[in-house]
Amino acid sequence: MDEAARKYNQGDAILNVRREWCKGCDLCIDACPEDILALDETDKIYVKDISACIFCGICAERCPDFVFSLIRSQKETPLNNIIRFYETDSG
Amino acid sequence: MPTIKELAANENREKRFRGGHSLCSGCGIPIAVRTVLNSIETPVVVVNATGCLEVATTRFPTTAWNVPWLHVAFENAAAAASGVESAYHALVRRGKLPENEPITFVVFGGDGGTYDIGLQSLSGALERGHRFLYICYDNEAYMNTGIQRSSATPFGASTTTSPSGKVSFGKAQQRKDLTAIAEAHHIRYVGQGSISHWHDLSEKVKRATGTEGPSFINVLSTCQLGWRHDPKNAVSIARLAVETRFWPLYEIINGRYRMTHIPDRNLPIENWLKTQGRFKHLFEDGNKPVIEEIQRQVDEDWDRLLRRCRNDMKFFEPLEVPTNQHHNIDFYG
Repeated sequence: MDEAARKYNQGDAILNVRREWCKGCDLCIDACPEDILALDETDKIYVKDISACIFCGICAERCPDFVFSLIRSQKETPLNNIIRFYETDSG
Repeated sequence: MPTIKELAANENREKRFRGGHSLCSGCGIPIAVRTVLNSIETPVVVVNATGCLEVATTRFPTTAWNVPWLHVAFENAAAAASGVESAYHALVRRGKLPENEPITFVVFGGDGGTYDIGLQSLSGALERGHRFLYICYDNEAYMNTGIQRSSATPFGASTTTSPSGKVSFGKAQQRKDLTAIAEAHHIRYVGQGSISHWHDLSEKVKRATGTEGPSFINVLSTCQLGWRHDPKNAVSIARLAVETRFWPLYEIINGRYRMTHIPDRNLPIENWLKTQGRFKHLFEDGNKPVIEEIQRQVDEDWDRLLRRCRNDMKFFEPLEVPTNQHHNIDFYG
């Protein structure tokens, strides 16, 4: 996997991963509630399984190097309810 | 109450701090900076003392900042912020800037630039009552210049100027309590946060920027080089510092203490010490008394803090916060 950037879609939510900015610190892997992030052989982050992503945005908030950016729909969807569930558990 | 979604929305609106900086992998500082800047709704002017953050984010000819940003020396960040704030009021008086669009002035300084070198200018600015928010990202040594001890370095930690070995067990002095020193200026808002508890930190920033006069927040940040741990453990080690009561999360509003997070478990301090290479020597033969001494200091500080909280607000009682924006405050932050 050698692309500099990757775009993941799920419904109307988009997760952009700017892989060229990744320093391989593992912080997002630790923070991801669904455990779907991993480092490849060049120590850059990638998403193992986008279908399991709940688009919570914790990776985007946690990353010190702004690798992730998240575009979510503003509409009320079941997805948003899942997001809310995870947000109440923050701390 | 800010949620991840709101923080992310704030960041999408205007990215105040961007990637491409050369801070180490797993550095705690950008997490603190993002959380702080994303929690402020008004336009921001940043004053930055010398330190890791300044050096790594503004390597010529690039910058990671998307806001007006001023770099000053170690010792005068708070003084420069006072000047910026005064200049703002002067421009408003002359009609060059609108009156009804407030600007928030934020100062970022490391523990070297705040605990040690910048303390006189910080003290002066707090005493004069300029309206700014001072964020000290405390990674507990002069990490930028090569891990020299500062007055924020904890007892027993090994640094290049307090090395551990046959004659020394590391730093022989207790770190100083800067949050209490800031409180002694009787300013309206003083807080202590951690990068691990971003929600708590975000709320503290909102309350701090809503108060009159200067405010000060001391944020525990990690340093994988100086603390000698794996980059991926940065946040969990900061969390463990809170859970072992080494770094209690509290705030002081109008002189009244208020605990914002109470650790669930009574964890021994060893759990936190053994995660870091700078305390590795404490687990060798003969250094057990040093760990006991650290535990004694942590317990003493915690008891002192609890007494203050109990005296001030009967511990669990919610407090009326002197801002007009945030009425509903969840006690646990």
